[in-house]
Amino acid sequence: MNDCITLAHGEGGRLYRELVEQVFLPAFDNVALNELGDSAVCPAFGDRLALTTDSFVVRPRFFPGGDIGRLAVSGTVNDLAVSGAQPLYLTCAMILEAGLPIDELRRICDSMAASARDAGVAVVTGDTKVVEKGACDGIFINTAGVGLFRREPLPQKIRPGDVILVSGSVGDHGLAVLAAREKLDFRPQLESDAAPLNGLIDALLQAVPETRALRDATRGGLTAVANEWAETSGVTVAIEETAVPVRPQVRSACQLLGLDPLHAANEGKVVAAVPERFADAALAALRKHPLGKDAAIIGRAESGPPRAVLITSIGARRILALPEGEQLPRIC
Amino acid sequence: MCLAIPGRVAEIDREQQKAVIDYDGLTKSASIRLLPQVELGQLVLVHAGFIIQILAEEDGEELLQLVREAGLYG
Amino acid sequence: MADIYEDKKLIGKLTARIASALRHPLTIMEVCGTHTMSIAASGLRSLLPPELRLISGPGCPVCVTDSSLISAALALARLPRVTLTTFGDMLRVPAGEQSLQYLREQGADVRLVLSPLDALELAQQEQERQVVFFAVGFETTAPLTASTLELARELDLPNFSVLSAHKTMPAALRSLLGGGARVDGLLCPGHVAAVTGADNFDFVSRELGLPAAVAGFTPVEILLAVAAIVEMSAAGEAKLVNCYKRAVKPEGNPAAREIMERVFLPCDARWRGLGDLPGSGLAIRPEFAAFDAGKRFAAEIAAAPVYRDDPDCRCGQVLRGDISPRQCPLFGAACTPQHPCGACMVSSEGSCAAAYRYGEGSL
Repeated sequence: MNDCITLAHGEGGRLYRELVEQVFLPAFDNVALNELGDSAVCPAFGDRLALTTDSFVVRPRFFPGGDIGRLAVSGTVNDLAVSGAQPLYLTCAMILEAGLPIDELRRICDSMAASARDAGVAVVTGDTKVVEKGACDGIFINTAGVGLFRREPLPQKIRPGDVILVSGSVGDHGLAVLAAREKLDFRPQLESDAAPLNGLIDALLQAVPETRALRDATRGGLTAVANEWAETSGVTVAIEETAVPVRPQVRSACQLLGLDPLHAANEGKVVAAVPERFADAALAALRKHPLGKDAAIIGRAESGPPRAVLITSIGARRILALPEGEQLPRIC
Repeated sequence: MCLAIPGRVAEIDREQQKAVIDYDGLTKSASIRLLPQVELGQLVLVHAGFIIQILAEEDGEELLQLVREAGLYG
Repeated sequence: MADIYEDKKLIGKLTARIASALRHPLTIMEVCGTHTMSIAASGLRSLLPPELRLISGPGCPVCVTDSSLISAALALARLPRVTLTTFGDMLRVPAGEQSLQYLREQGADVRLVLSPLDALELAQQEQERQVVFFAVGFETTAPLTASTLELARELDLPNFSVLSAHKTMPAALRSLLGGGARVDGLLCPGHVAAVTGADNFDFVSRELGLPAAVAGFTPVEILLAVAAIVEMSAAGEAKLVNCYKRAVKPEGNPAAREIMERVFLPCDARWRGLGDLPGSGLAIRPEFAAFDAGKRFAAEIAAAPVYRDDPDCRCGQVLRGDISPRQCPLFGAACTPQHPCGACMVSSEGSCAAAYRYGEGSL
């Protein structure tokens, strides 16, 4: 096998076969996939499915705390989990740029496989296309996911009085990727929080089945979740700035770059809304799980105009607005 | 304008005219070309990769003094 | 940093004192992008009496960079052999229908840097590229560019140059605040003063007759300066007080000022929304002409299209407090946060952008 991806790897011939047998099958090994049928045949029990799909492009492909493969599994697993479903199966479609080192592809597949094992899901079918150099940025991955509902889907509507929690520190992923992309000489390195959250979410839903809504705070961060909930549920979502956990290093990095940790992306944090009387139980359930040990109560829903509001460190209230476009480091 | 952030000088390399600045547990390098006399351990103000000023150490007392002084204009 | 700078008790004391000293409606202007952001982010306005207005002046150097200078930067970014570097906030500032961000998305080699030294380092690493640093900023930032230019000359780097959009504050403030602007006091930019020394802003009280205070950037420090101005105003005094003593010494940073003078010469400059202001810009001295991108690429810049600021833009009057953002004919139609014309809309917390996003009040 060549050292780098070539257009021939995408032609369905011997090289493609080698790629499947030497890279994909060893990484994702499972009964449904090993059949290599045009469709995977998977056992299922229950009467309601959750389906989701997501595409992943990230530069750099490897960064402290994760890589594009870990993102591709965690992102899709988390989208299923926050709907209240149990993630079971993933598909994986890759678009590869000719010239991508096969060793790098192997590392990405191993990372996907490890994340899938963490999440208890199987990658059961896939597809690979190769495009010429310059037509994509190394590797683009799409994963689709299937989950089963073993409980009622969450209402995903929050009500005035509900308490809002986050499962840990915010901004870790966004700042880690930015620092890696711009080669900022931060020490220690900032690490992404990319992780499948289905175990943590399952623990929360077992302890508090009354949970009203869950979201993973990815692009747009906590700010985006607060604004979406305000919009879709017709409530004022008030977040208490000083209650939101932010690692000191991430806070410093944000200050240096002129960024707001509340707007920064996360890939391993869930935001939950629960009726007030279950707030302590929800917090305890989150904190008991290793991925939720820094969980905190960060705000509540109020009756009022549908908007997100921040109660700032000095006790003032202001609108928590979505940033215009991509957050870029600034000097003024 | 001018986002400038306080940090503490953790290392100095005078030959390279560089310092390592500690911002509450996160370090990054900065140039000392505009403040060559800076010393290890000093609290400094860093703007766009350069140390631009030494910050006076404060325990808040000076700030309170300023608050009292401002009262002179009442 | 000690939490005293966000201490709620101290803030309560200061706001109470401001409220009790306020005799009549007052408008205080700040002229620093970081003051703008800090005031907006902390929600400070909501703690102040409604008769006390805090407004943003031309304090964001990126936002006041005019379309013709952006046109020159765009022209350089379009050259295949050029890598154009600049600070992140510069990328979105428009000229005509374009911006550096737009060109970057179209494949131009535009890279953001955190320091002029990063641009110089890039030039050392990629010697086959012409690396241009599009330099922007007031007296705080100009010495950094100057120092980098001196280093480039020491290293004799043939592929590094600077396009200067540097400006200085005093001329702009004189033009804006002289002759009856509806501004009653000025929060002076603490980080400019950290370099120039507090006395640089003496003219605000002496010539323009306005109470002025050099302010730090935490909520407590900003309130302290606001309190000083309100109390001076009530006493009928116009002085300059330094409320940011931990960073602003009387002499500022002499080394930084000297290097700025060695490398730059005052020149006339055009400000987005304010027009041409004599002596308000910083041009690279002839001794450094070899590193002046405006000279090195003069032909290419001259050949490229030049965009002009929209002549109907009323930023100057908005900044002077003569009109509210909504009274500008461009507001909300030709000028929005997605397609900003004037500086007050380019800055995310500028008067016009805030009025567009939040309505006139905030909460």
